[in-house]
Amino acid sequence: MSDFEGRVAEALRGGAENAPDALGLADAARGRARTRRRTRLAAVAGAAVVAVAIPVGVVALSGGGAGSDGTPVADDAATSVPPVDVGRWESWHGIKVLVPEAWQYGNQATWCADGGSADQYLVSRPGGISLMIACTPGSSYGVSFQDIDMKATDEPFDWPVVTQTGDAWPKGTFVGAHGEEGVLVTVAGPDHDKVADVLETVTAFGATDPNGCASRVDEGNSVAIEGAMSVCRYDTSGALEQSERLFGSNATDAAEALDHMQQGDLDCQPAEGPGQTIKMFDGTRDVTIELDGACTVAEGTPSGIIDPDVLWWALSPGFSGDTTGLAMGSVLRSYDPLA
Amino acid sequence: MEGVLSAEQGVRVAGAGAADFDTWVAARGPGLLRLAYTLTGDRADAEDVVQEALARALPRWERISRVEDVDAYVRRMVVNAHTSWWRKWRRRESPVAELRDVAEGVVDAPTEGFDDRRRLWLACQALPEVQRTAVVLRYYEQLEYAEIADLTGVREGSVRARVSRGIAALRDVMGEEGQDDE
Repeated sequence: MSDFEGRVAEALRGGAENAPDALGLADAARGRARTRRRTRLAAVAGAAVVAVAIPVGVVALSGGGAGSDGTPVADDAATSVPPVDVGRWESWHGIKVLVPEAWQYGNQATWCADGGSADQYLVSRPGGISLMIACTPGSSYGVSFQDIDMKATDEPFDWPVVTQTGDAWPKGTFVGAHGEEGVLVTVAGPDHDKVADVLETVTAFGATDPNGCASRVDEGNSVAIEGAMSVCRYDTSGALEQSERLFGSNATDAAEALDHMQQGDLDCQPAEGPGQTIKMFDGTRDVTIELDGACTVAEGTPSGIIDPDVLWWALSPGFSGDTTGLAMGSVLRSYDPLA
Repeated sequence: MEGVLSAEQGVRVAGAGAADFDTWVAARGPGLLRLAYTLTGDRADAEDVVQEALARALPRWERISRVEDVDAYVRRMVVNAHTSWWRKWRRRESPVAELRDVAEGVVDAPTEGFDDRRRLWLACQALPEVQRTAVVLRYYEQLEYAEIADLTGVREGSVRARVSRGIAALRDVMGEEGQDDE
Protein backbone atom coordinates (compact mmCIF):
# COMPACT_ATOMS: atom_id res chain seq x y z
CA MET A 1 0.00 0.00 0.00
CA SER A 2 1.45 3.35 -1.01
CA ASP A 3 1.70 6.31 1.32
CA PHE A 4 -1.23 7.96 -0.40
CA GLU A 5 -3.40 4.87 -0.03
CA GLY A 6 -2.43 4.74 3.62
CA ARG A 7 -3.62 8.32 4.01
CA VAL A 8 -6.89 7.40 2.31
CA ALA A 9 -7.38 4.53 4.75
CA GLU A 10 -6.57 6.82 7.66
CA ALA A 11 -9.00 9.45 6.39
CA LEU A 12 -11.77 6.92 6.09
CA ARG A 13 -11.13 5.56 9.56
CA GLY A 14 -11.08 9.06 10.98
CA GLY A 15 -14.25 10.07 9.20
CA ALA A 16 -16.01 6.90 10.33
CA GLU A 17 -15.63 8.03 13.93
CA ASN A 18 -18.37 10.55 13.25
CA ALA A 19 -20.85 7.77 12.53
CA PRO A 20 -24.04 7.81 14.59
CA ASP A 21 -24.09 5.70 17.72
CA ALA A 22 -25.86 2.37 17.83
CA LEU A 23 -28.17 3.17 20.71
CA GLY A 24 -31.55 1.54 20.08
CA LEU A 25 -30.39 0.09 16.78
CA ALA A 26 -31.86 -3.37 17.38
CA ASP A 27 -35.21 -1.94 18.40
CA ALA A 28 -35.24 0.34 15.39
CA ALA A 29 -34.50 -2.59 13.10
CA ARG A 30 -37.20 -4.64 14.77
CA GLY A 31 -39.72 -1.86 14.31
CA ARG A 32 -38.77 -1.53 10.68
CA ALA A 33 -39.08 -5.26 10.16
CA ARG A 34 -42.62 -5.17 11.55
CA THR A 35 -43.50 -2.22 9.36
CA ARG A 36 -42.09 -3.97 6.32
CA ARG A 37 -44.16 -7.03 7.06
CA ARG A 38 -47.39 -5.10 7.62
CA THR A 39 -46.81 -3.09 4.48
CA ARG A 40 -46.12 -6.15 2.38
CA LEU A 41 -49.13 -8.03 3.66
CA ALA A 42 -51.41 -5.05 3.18
CA ALA A 43 -50.15 -4.57 -0.35
CA VAL A 44 -50.62 -8.18 -1.29
CA ALA A 45 -53.98 -8.35 0.40
CA GLY A 46 -55.13 -5.39 -1.66
CA ALA A 47 -53.91 -6.95 -4.86
CA ALA A 48 -55.50 -10.27 -4.00
CA VAL A 49 -58.90 -8.75 -3.28
CA VAL A 50 -58.90 -7.12 -6.68
CA ALA A 51 -57.82 -10.30 -8.38
CA VAL A 52 -60.29 -12.58 -6.66
CA ALA A 53 -63.08 -10.02 -6.61
CA ILE A 54 -64.58 -11.65 -3.53
CA PRO A 55 -63.71 -9.28 -0.73
CA VAL A 56 -66.37 -10.80 1.51
CA GLY A 57 -65.48 -14.04 3.20
CA VAL A 58 -61.88 -14.34 2.18
CA VAL A 59 -60.66 -13.79 5.72
CA ALA A 60 -62.73 -16.70 6.88
CA LEU A 61 -61.29 -18.81 4.10
CA SER A 62 -57.77 -18.15 5.22
CA GLY A 63 -58.53 -19.62 8.59
CA GLY A 64 -56.89 -18.88 11.93
CA GLY A 65 -54.15 -16.51 12.80
CA ALA A 66 -56.15 -13.90 14.62
CA GLY A 67 -55.75 -13.09 18.25
CA SER A 68 -58.58 -13.27 20.76
CA ASP A 69 -59.60 -9.74 19.98
CA GLY A 70 -59.66 -10.41 16.28
CA THR A 71 -56.45 -8.60 15.53
CA PRO A 72 -53.63 -10.28 13.65
CA VAL A 73 -51.05 -12.17 15.67
CA ALA A 74 -47.55 -10.75 15.47
CA ASP A 75 -45.22 -12.89 13.44
CA ASP A 76 -41.64 -12.18 14.34
CA ALA A 77 -40.92 -15.84 14.91
CA ALA A 78 -40.68 -18.05 11.90
CA THR A 79 -42.82 -20.62 13.65
CA SER A 80 -45.65 -18.36 14.71
CA VAL A 81 -49.03 -18.29 13.07
CA PRO A 82 -49.11 -15.66 10.33
CA PRO A 83 -51.54 -12.78 10.56
CA VAL A 84 -54.87 -12.99 8.84
CA ASP A 85 -54.19 -12.42 5.20
CA VAL A 86 -55.93 -12.64 1.92
CA GLY A 87 -53.87 -15.22 0.18
CA ARG A 88 -52.11 -18.46 0.86
CA TRP A 89 -48.52 -19.24 1.58
CA GLU A 90 -46.72 -21.42 -0.92
CA SER A 91 -43.34 -22.88 -0.04
CA TRP A 92 -40.57 -24.71 -1.78
CA HIS A 93 -37.43 -25.82 0.04
CA GLY A 94 -36.73 -23.02 2.52
CA ILE A 95 -38.56 -20.23 0.70
CA LYS A 96 -42.11 -19.00 1.05
CA VAL A 97 -44.29 -16.63 -0.96
CA LEU A 98 -47.78 -15.27 -0.33
CA VAL A 99 -49.95 -15.63 -3.43
CA PRO A 100 -53.56 -14.56 -4.06
CA GLU A 101 -56.09 -17.25 -3.24
CA ALA A 102 -57.29 -17.42 -6.83
CA TRP A 103 -53.98 -18.62 -8.24
CA GLN A 104 -54.22 -22.23 -9.33
CA TYR A 105 -51.60 -24.97 -9.51
CA GLY A 106 -49.94 -26.29 -12.61
CA ASN A 107 -46.97 -26.14 -14.90
CA GLN A 108 -46.67 -22.70 -16.44
CA ALA A 109 -44.76 -24.15 -19.38
CA THR A 110 -47.62 -26.49 -20.35
CA TRP A 111 -50.47 -24.06 -19.89
CA CYS A 112 -51.84 -24.87 -23.35
CA ALA A 113 -52.63 -28.48 -22.45
CA ASP A 114 -56.30 -29.28 -22.06
CA GLY A 115 -57.44 -25.98 -23.51
CA GLY A 116 -55.70 -23.82 -20.91
CA SER A 117 -55.05 -20.13 -21.26
CA ALA A 118 -51.79 -18.22 -21.04
CA ASP A 119 -53.42 -15.54 -18.90
CA GLN A 120 -54.14 -17.93 -16.06
CA TYR A 121 -52.09 -17.62 -12.89
CA LEU A 122 -50.35 -20.84 -11.91
CA VAL A 123 -48.08 -21.86 -9.04
CA SER A 124 -45.35 -24.02 -10.59
CA ARG A 125 -42.85 -26.26 -8.90
CA PRO A 126 -39.95 -28.25 -10.37
CA GLY A 127 -40.17 -31.99 -10.46
CA GLY A 128 -43.07 -34.24 -11.10
CA ILE A 129 -44.14 -35.50 -14.47
CA SER A 130 -44.15 -32.91 -17.26
CA LEU A 131 -46.04 -33.08 -20.51
CA MET A 132 -43.97 -32.85 -23.69
CA ILE A 133 -45.78 -29.82 -25.00
CA ALA A 134 -44.31 -26.64 -26.42
CA CYS A 135 -46.71 -23.78 -25.80
CA THR A 136 -46.49 -20.31 -27.30
CA PRO A 137 -45.97 -18.12 -25.41
CA GLY A 138 -43.70 -20.34 -23.41
CA SER A 139 -45.14 -19.61 -19.99
CA SER A 140 -48.34 -18.45 -18.36
CA TYR A 141 -48.64 -15.96 -15.50
CA GLY A 142 -48.02 -16.87 -11.89
CA VAL A 143 -45.16 -17.84 -9.65
CA SER A 144 -42.51 -20.49 -10.20
CA PHE A 145 -39.74 -21.92 -8.06
CA GLN A 146 -36.37 -22.89 -9.44
CA ASP A 147 -33.24 -24.40 -8.00
CA ILE A 148 -30.20 -22.18 -8.57
CA ASP A 149 -26.55 -22.35 -7.63
CA MET A 150 -25.98 -20.13 -4.61
CA LYS A 151 -23.47 -20.40 -1.83
CA ALA A 152 -24.81 -20.61 1.71
CA THR A 153 -23.53 -17.14 2.46
CA ASP A 154 -24.69 -15.52 -0.77
CA GLU A 155 -26.89 -12.51 -0.20
CA PRO A 156 -30.48 -12.63 -1.42
CA PHE A 157 -30.90 -10.72 -4.66
CA ASP A 158 -33.71 -9.22 -6.68
CA TRP A 159 -34.31 -8.98 -10.36
CA PRO A 160 -36.38 -5.89 -11.03
CA VAL A 161 -39.91 -6.18 -12.34
CA VAL A 162 -39.71 -5.32 -16.04
CA THR A 163 -41.75 -5.99 -19.13
CA GLN A 164 -40.71 -8.90 -21.30
CA THR A 165 -40.51 -9.13 -25.04
CA GLY A 166 -40.40 -12.25 -27.16
CA ASP A 167 -42.41 -15.40 -26.78
CA ALA A 168 -41.43 -16.43 -23.29
CA TRP A 169 -44.55 -14.87 -21.73
CA PRO A 170 -47.72 -13.25 -23.05
CA LYS A 171 -47.06 -9.89 -24.63
CA GLY A 172 -46.61 -7.11 -22.09
CA THR A 173 -45.99 -9.43 -19.14
CA PHE A 174 -44.14 -7.99 -16.18
CA VAL A 175 -41.61 -10.39 -14.70
CA GLY A 176 -39.46 -10.10 -11.61
CA ALA A 177 -37.58 -12.54 -9.41
CA HIS A 178 -36.03 -12.96 -6.00
CA GLY A 179 -33.17 -15.35 -5.27
CA GLU A 180 -32.40 -16.61 -1.82
CA GLU A 181 -30.87 -19.73 -0.30
CA GLY A 182 -30.50 -21.48 -3.62
CA VAL A 183 -34.04 -20.84 -4.79
CA LEU A 184 -35.12 -18.44 -7.51
CA VAL A 185 -38.75 -17.38 -7.29
CA THR A 186 -40.08 -15.79 -10.47
CA VAL A 187 -43.35 -13.89 -10.58
CA ALA A 188 -45.08 -12.97 -13.84
CA GLY A 189 -48.26 -11.12 -14.63
CA PRO A 190 -49.77 -8.25 -16.60
CA ASP A 191 -49.91 -5.88 -13.62
CA HIS A 192 -46.58 -4.44 -12.52
CA ASP A 193 -47.70 -3.61 -9.01
CA LYS A 194 -49.30 -6.97 -8.38
CA VAL A 195 -46.14 -8.75 -9.51
CA ALA A 196 -44.04 -6.49 -7.29
CA ASP A 197 -46.34 -7.03 -4.31
CA VAL A 198 -46.20 -10.80 -4.57
CA LEU A 199 -42.46 -10.64 -5.09
CA GLU A 200 -42.08 -8.56 -1.94
CA THR A 201 -43.41 -11.45 0.14
CA VAL A 202 -40.78 -13.91 -1.06
CA THR A 203 -38.44 -14.74 1.76
CA ALA A 204 -36.73 -17.60 3.51
CA PHE A 205 -38.60 -19.03 6.45
CA GLY A 206 -37.01 -20.16 9.66
CA ALA A 207 -37.75 -23.43 11.37
CA THR A 208 -41.13 -23.91 9.74
CA ASP A 209 -43.18 -22.24 7.05
CA PRO A 210 -46.55 -20.58 7.76
CA ASN A 211 -48.28 -23.88 7.05
CA GLY A 212 -46.34 -25.52 9.86
CA CYS A 213 -43.94 -27.50 7.65
CA ALA A 214 -40.19 -27.79 8.16
CA SER A 215 -37.95 -27.15 5.18
CA ARG A 216 -36.57 -30.69 5.38
CA VAL A 217 -38.28 -33.89 6.32
CA ASP A 218 -35.54 -34.84 8.76
CA GLU A 219 -35.58 -31.57 10.68
CA GLY A 220 -38.43 -32.80 12.82
CA ASN A 221 -39.60 -29.39 13.91
CA SER A 222 -42.94 -29.21 12.16
CA VAL A 223 -45.48 -27.28 14.18
CA ALA A 224 -49.18 -28.04 14.20
CA ILE A 225 -51.52 -25.11 13.86
CA GLU A 226 -54.63 -24.99 15.98
CA GLY A 227 -57.77 -25.77 14.04
CA ALA A 228 -55.92 -26.91 10.96
CA MET A 229 -54.24 -29.95 9.51
CA SER A 230 -50.88 -29.43 7.85
CA VAL A 231 -49.90 -31.42 4.79
CA CYS A 232 -46.18 -31.27 3.98
CA ARG A 233 -44.75 -33.07 0.97
CA TYR A 234 -41.02 -33.68 0.61
CA ASP A 235 -39.08 -34.80 -2.44
CA THR A 236 -36.83 -37.84 -2.51
CA SER A 237 -33.92 -35.78 -1.18
CA GLY A 238 -35.98 -34.72 1.81
CA ALA A 239 -36.51 -31.09 0.78
CA LEU A 240 -39.92 -29.49 1.19
CA GLU A 241 -41.74 -29.57 -2.13
CA GLN A 242 -45.15 -28.27 -1.11
CA SER A 243 -47.04 -27.37 2.02
CA GLU A 244 -50.72 -26.83 2.67
CA ARG A 245 -53.05 -25.99 5.51
CA LEU A 246 -56.44 -27.65 5.60
CA PHE A 247 -59.15 -25.85 7.53
CA GLY A 248 -62.71 -26.40 8.64
CA SER A 249 -64.49 -29.36 7.12
CA ASN A 250 -61.43 -30.20 5.03
CA ALA A 251 -59.34 -30.59 8.17
CA THR A 252 -62.10 -32.63 9.82
CA ASP A 253 -62.49 -34.90 6.78
CA ALA A 254 -58.75 -35.46 6.49
CA ALA A 255 -58.54 -36.33 10.19
CA GLU A 256 -61.40 -38.75 9.79
CA ALA A 257 -59.68 -40.39 6.83
CA LEU A 258 -56.58 -40.95 8.92
CA ASP A 259 -58.61 -42.26 11.84
CA HIS A 260 -60.28 -44.88 9.65
CA MET A 261 -57.27 -46.35 7.90
CA GLN A 262 -57.29 -50.11 7.49
CA GLN A 263 -55.04 -52.01 9.87
CA GLY A 264 -52.93 -55.05 8.98
CA ASP A 265 -49.87 -56.03 6.94
CA LEU A 266 -49.16 -55.61 3.25
CA ASP A 267 -47.70 -58.35 1.10
CA CYS A 268 -45.52 -56.36 -1.29
CA GLN A 269 -41.93 -55.62 -2.27
CA PRO A 270 -40.82 -52.20 -1.05
CA ALA A 271 -38.79 -50.01 -3.37
CA GLU A 272 -35.07 -49.75 -2.72
CA GLY A 273 -34.65 -46.02 -2.90
CA PRO A 274 -36.37 -43.35 -0.86
CA GLY A 275 -39.70 -42.14 -2.09
CA GLN A 276 -41.51 -38.88 -1.63
CA THR A 277 -42.58 -38.34 1.95
CA ILE A 278 -45.77 -36.70 3.12
CA LYS A 279 -46.37 -35.59 6.67
CA MET A 280 -49.87 -34.86 7.92
CA PHE A 281 -50.44 -33.55 11.40
CA ASP A 282 -52.75 -31.60 13.62
CA GLY A 283 -52.92 -31.27 17.38
CA THR A 284 -53.47 -34.98 17.97
CA ARG A 285 -52.36 -36.73 14.80
CA ASP A 286 -48.88 -37.00 13.37
CA VAL A 287 -48.52 -39.27 10.36
CA THR A 288 -45.65 -39.91 7.98
CA ILE A 289 -46.37 -41.44 4.59
CA GLU A 290 -43.57 -42.54 2.29
CA LEU A 291 -44.97 -43.03 -1.19
CA ASP A 292 -43.99 -46.50 -2.30
CA GLY A 293 -46.63 -47.73 -4.73
CA ALA A 294 -48.72 -50.57 -3.38
CA CYS A 295 -46.52 -50.76 -0.29
CA THR A 296 -47.47 -47.31 0.93
CA VAL A 297 -48.48 -47.15 4.57
CA ALA A 298 -48.90 -44.43 7.13
CA GLU A 299 -46.71 -44.54 10.20
CA GLY A 300 -47.25 -42.58 13.36
CA THR A 301 -50.40 -41.66 15.18
CA PRO A 302 -52.53 -43.21 13.82
CA SER A 303 -50.88 -45.75 11.53
CA GLY A 304 -52.42 -47.94 8.87
CA ILE A 305 -52.63 -48.91 5.22
CA ILE A 306 -53.08 -46.05 2.81
CA ASP A 307 -56.40 -45.89 1.01
CA PRO A 308 -57.88 -43.52 -1.59
CA ASP A 309 -59.52 -41.43 1.12
CA VAL A 310 -56.21 -40.67 2.80
CA LEU A 311 -54.43 -40.11 -0.50
CA TRP A 312 -57.13 -37.66 -1.51
CA TRP A 313 -55.96 -35.39 1.30
CA ALA A 314 -52.28 -36.36 1.29
CA LEU A 315 -51.68 -35.39 -2.33
CA SER A 316 -52.09 -31.65 -2.34
CA PRO A 317 -53.41 -29.89 -5.45
CA GLY A 318 -50.62 -29.53 -7.96
CA PHE A 319 -49.06 -32.90 -7.16
CA SER A 320 -47.66 -34.34 -10.37
CA GLY A 321 -45.51 -37.19 -9.12
CA ASP A 322 -45.63 -40.88 -9.84
CA THR A 323 -48.84 -42.55 -8.67
CA THR A 324 -48.05 -46.00 -10.01
CA GLY A 325 -49.41 -48.68 -7.72
CA LEU A 326 -50.96 -46.24 -5.28
CA ALA A 327 -54.38 -47.16 -3.99
CA MET A 328 -55.99 -43.97 -5.10
CA GLY A 329 -59.09 -42.78 -6.87
CA SER A 330 -59.33 -41.79 -10.49
CA VAL A 331 -58.70 -38.10 -9.92
CA LEU A 332 -56.45 -36.03 -7.74
CA ARG A 333 -57.73 -33.34 -5.47
CA SER A 334 -57.93 -30.06 -7.34
CA TYR A 335 -57.68 -26.59 -5.91
CA ASP A 336 -60.83 -24.65 -5.18
CA PRO A 337 -60.21 -21.17 -3.76
CA LEU A 338 -63.72 -21.14 -2.32
CA ALA A 339 -63.41 -24.50 -0.56
CA MET B 1 -43.51 -32.75 15.62
CA GLU B 2 -43.07 -30.52 18.62
CA GLY B 3 -46.73 -30.00 19.37
CA VAL B 4 -49.35 -27.39 18.89
CA LEU B 5 -48.03 -23.87 18.84
CA SER B 6 -49.98 -21.50 21.02
CA ALA B 7 -49.77 -17.75 20.88
CA GLU B 8 -47.86 -17.84 24.18
CA GLN B 9 -45.28 -20.25 22.77
CA GLY B 10 -44.92 -18.04 19.73
CA VAL B 11 -43.98 -15.16 21.95
CA ARG B 12 -41.42 -17.29 23.75
CA VAL B 13 -39.79 -18.35 20.50
CA ALA B 14 -39.65 -14.77 19.37
CA GLY B 15 -38.12 -13.75 22.67
CA ALA B 16 -35.34 -16.34 22.47
CA GLY B 17 -34.34 -15.30 18.97
CA ALA B 18 -34.59 -11.66 19.85
CA ALA B 19 -32.04 -12.01 22.65
CA ASP B 20 -29.38 -13.35 20.29
CA PHE B 21 -30.12 -10.66 17.77
CA ASP B 22 -29.94 -7.90 20.35
CA THR B 23 -26.66 -9.19 21.73
CA TRP B 24 -25.10 -9.37 18.31
CA VAL B 25 -26.35 -5.93 17.28
CA ALA B 26 -25.08 -4.42 20.52
CA ALA B 27 -21.62 -5.78 19.78
CA ARG B 28 -21.44 -5.25 16.03
CA GLY B 29 -23.86 -2.40 15.42
CA PRO B 30 -21.33 0.41 15.93
CA GLY B 31 -19.00 -1.14 13.36
CA LEU B 32 -21.82 -1.53 10.87
CA LEU B 33 -22.80 2.10 11.33
CA ARG B 34 -19.22 3.22 10.77
CA LEU B 35 -19.08 1.21 7.56
CA ALA B 36 -22.41 2.60 6.42
CA TYR B 37 -21.27 6.10 7.25
CA THR B 38 -18.14 5.75 5.14
CA LEU B 39 -20.31 4.50 2.30
CA THR B 40 -23.02 7.16 2.52
CA GLY B 41 -21.23 10.10 4.11
CA ASP B 42 -24.44 10.99 5.92
CA ARG B 43 -25.42 10.01 9.45
CA ALA B 44 -29.13 9.67 8.76
CA ASP B 45 -28.52 7.68 5.61
CA ALA B 46 -26.09 5.44 7.48
CA GLU B 47 -28.73 4.68 10.10
CA ASP B 48 -31.24 4.07 7.35
CA VAL B 49 -29.00 1.60 5.54
CA VAL B 50 -28.03 -0.35 8.67
CA GLN B 51 -31.59 -0.50 9.96
CA GLU B 52 -32.74 -1.75 6.58
CA ALA B 53 -30.09 -4.47 6.52
CA LEU B 54 -30.88 -5.56 10.07
CA ALA B 55 -34.62 -5.49 9.43
CA ARG B 56 -34.05 -7.91 6.57
CA ALA B 57 -31.77 -10.06 8.69
CA LEU B 58 -34.07 -10.26 11.70
CA PRO B 59 -36.70 -12.66 10.29
CA ARG B 60 -33.90 -14.99 9.17
CA TRP B 61 -31.70 -14.52 12.19
CA GLU B 62 -31.95 -18.11 13.29
CA ARG B 63 -30.34 -19.19 10.03
CA ILE B 64 -27.95 -16.29 9.66
CA SER B 65 -26.61 -16.80 13.17
CA ARG B 66 -25.49 -20.27 12.11
CA VAL B 67 -23.39 -19.24 9.10
CA GLU B 68 -19.63 -19.49 9.38
CA ASP B 69 -18.95 -15.76 9.47
CA VAL B 70 -21.97 -13.84 10.67
CA ASP B 71 -20.09 -10.54 10.67
CA ALA B 72 -19.17 -10.87 7.01
CA TYR B 73 -22.68 -11.95 6.12
CA VAL B 74 -24.32 -8.92 7.69
CA ARG B 75 -21.59 -6.61 6.42
CA ARG B 76 -22.49 -7.81 2.97
CA MET B 77 -26.14 -7.07 3.68
CA VAL B 78 -25.19 -3.53 4.68
CA VAL B 79 -23.24 -3.00 1.47
CA ASN B 80 -26.14 -4.39 -0.55
CA ALA B 81 -28.62 -2.25 1.35
CA HIS B 82 -26.48 0.76 0.55
CA THR B 83 -26.39 -0.16 -3.12
CA SER B 84 -30.16 -0.67 -3.20
CA TRP B 85 -30.72 2.53 -1.29
CA TRP B 86 -28.51 4.48 -3.65
CA ARG B 87 -30.24 3.08 -6.72
CA LYS B 88 -33.63 3.82 -5.22
CA TRP B 89 -32.98 7.40 -4.29
CA ARG B 90 -30.47 8.66 -6.81
CA ARG B 91 -33.19 9.69 -9.22
CA ARG B 92 -34.63 12.04 -6.65
CA GLU B 93 -31.33 13.70 -5.93
CA SER B 94 -30.17 16.79 -7.70
CA PRO B 95 -27.55 16.23 -10.35
CA VAL B 96 -24.20 16.01 -8.62
CA ALA B 97 -21.50 18.36 -9.69
CA GLU B 98 -18.31 16.98 -11.09
CA LEU B 99 -16.06 15.41 -8.50
CA ARG B 100 -13.39 18.00 -8.97
CA ASP B 101 -15.85 20.86 -8.52
CA VAL B 102 -17.31 19.42 -5.35
CA ALA B 103 -14.02 18.55 -3.79
CA GLU B 104 -12.29 21.72 -4.87
CA GLY B 105 -15.15 23.75 -3.50
CA VAL B 106 -14.55 22.14 -0.18
CA VAL B 107 -10.82 22.53 -0.43
CA ASP B 108 -11.15 26.17 -1.29
CA ALA B 109 -13.29 26.91 1.71
CA PRO B 110 -11.58 25.31 4.68
CA THR B 111 -13.10 25.66 8.08
CA GLU B 112 -11.64 25.33 11.52
CA GLY B 113 -10.04 21.94 12.01
CA PHE B 114 -10.02 21.29 8.33
CA ASP B 115 -6.98 19.26 7.46
CA ASP B 116 -5.55 16.88 4.95
CA ARG B 117 -7.44 13.95 6.40
CA ARG B 118 -10.73 15.82 6.28
CA ARG B 119 -10.11 16.87 2.70
CA LEU B 120 -9.49 13.29 1.72
CA TRP B 121 -12.65 12.16 3.51
CA LEU B 122 -14.76 14.69 1.65
CA ALA B 123 -13.08 13.86 -1.62
CA CYS B 124 -13.89 10.19 -1.06
CA GLN B 125 -17.51 11.09 -0.46
CA ALA B 126 -17.56 12.98 -3.72
CA LEU B 127 -16.42 9.96 -5.71
CA PRO B 128 -18.97 8.26 -7.98
CA GLU B 129 -20.87 5.65 -5.99
CA VAL B 130 -19.28 2.55 -7.50
CA GLN B 131 -15.79 3.96 -7.04
CA ARG B 132 -16.54 5.09 -3.50
CA THR B 133 -17.86 1.67 -2.55
CA ALA B 134 -14.79 -0.03 -3.99
CA VAL B 135 -12.42 2.40 -2.28
CA VAL B 136 -14.19 2.07 1.06
CA LEU B 137 -14.17 -1.70 0.94
CA ARG B 138 -10.53 -1.75 -0.10
CA TYR B 139 -9.09 0.81 2.28
CA TYR B 140 -11.55 1.02 5.15
CA GLU B 141 -12.64 -2.60 5.32
CA GLN B 142 -9.18 -3.73 4.11
CA LEU B 143 -10.70 -6.38 1.86
CA GLU B 144 -8.80 -8.09 -0.92
CA TYR B 145 -9.90 -7.40 -4.49
CA ALA B 146 -11.31 -10.88 -4.81
CA GLU B 147 -13.35 -10.41 -1.65
CA ILE B 148 -14.72 -7.11 -2.92
CA ALA B 149 -15.59 -8.76 -6.22
CA ASP B 150 -17.41 -11.51 -4.41
CA LEU B 151 -19.22 -9.09 -2.15
CA THR B 152 -20.32 -6.64 -4.82
CA GLY B 153 -20.95 -9.17 -7.54
CA VAL B 154 -18.62 -7.68 -10.13
CA ARG B 155 -15.49 -9.10 -11.71
CA GLU B 156 -12.21 -8.67 -9.88
CA GLY B 157 -10.81 -6.74 -12.82
CA SER B 158 -13.66 -4.27 -12.57
CA VAL B 159 -13.01 -3.85 -8.86
CA ARG B 160 -9.36 -3.11 -9.52
CA ALA B 161 -10.33 -0.58 -12.17
CA ARG B 162 -12.80 1.14 -9.86
CA VAL B 163 -10.31 1.37 -7.04
CA SER B 164 -7.61 2.59 -9.40
CA ARG B 165 -9.83 5.26 -10.88
CA GLY B 166 -11.02 6.29 -7.45
CA ILE B 167 -7.48 6.68 -6.16
CA ALA B 168 -6.48 8.57 -9.31
CA ALA B 169 -9.40 10.93 -8.83
CA LEU B 170 -8.44 11.49 -5.21
CA ARG B 171 -4.85 12.18 -6.18
CA ASP B 172 -6.06 14.66 -8.74
CA VAL B 173 -8.25 16.45 -6.23
CA MET B 174 -5.47 16.53 -3.69
CA GLY B 175 -3.06 17.82 -6.30
CA GLU B 176 -0.66 14.96 -5.95
CA GLU B 177 1.50 13.30 -8.52
CA GLY B 178 0.13 10.06 -9.87
CA GLN B 179 2.08 6.92 -9.23
CA ASP B 180 1.50 3.23 -9.30
CA ASP B 181 -0.29 2.08 -6.21
CA GLU B 182 0.49 -1.42 -5.13
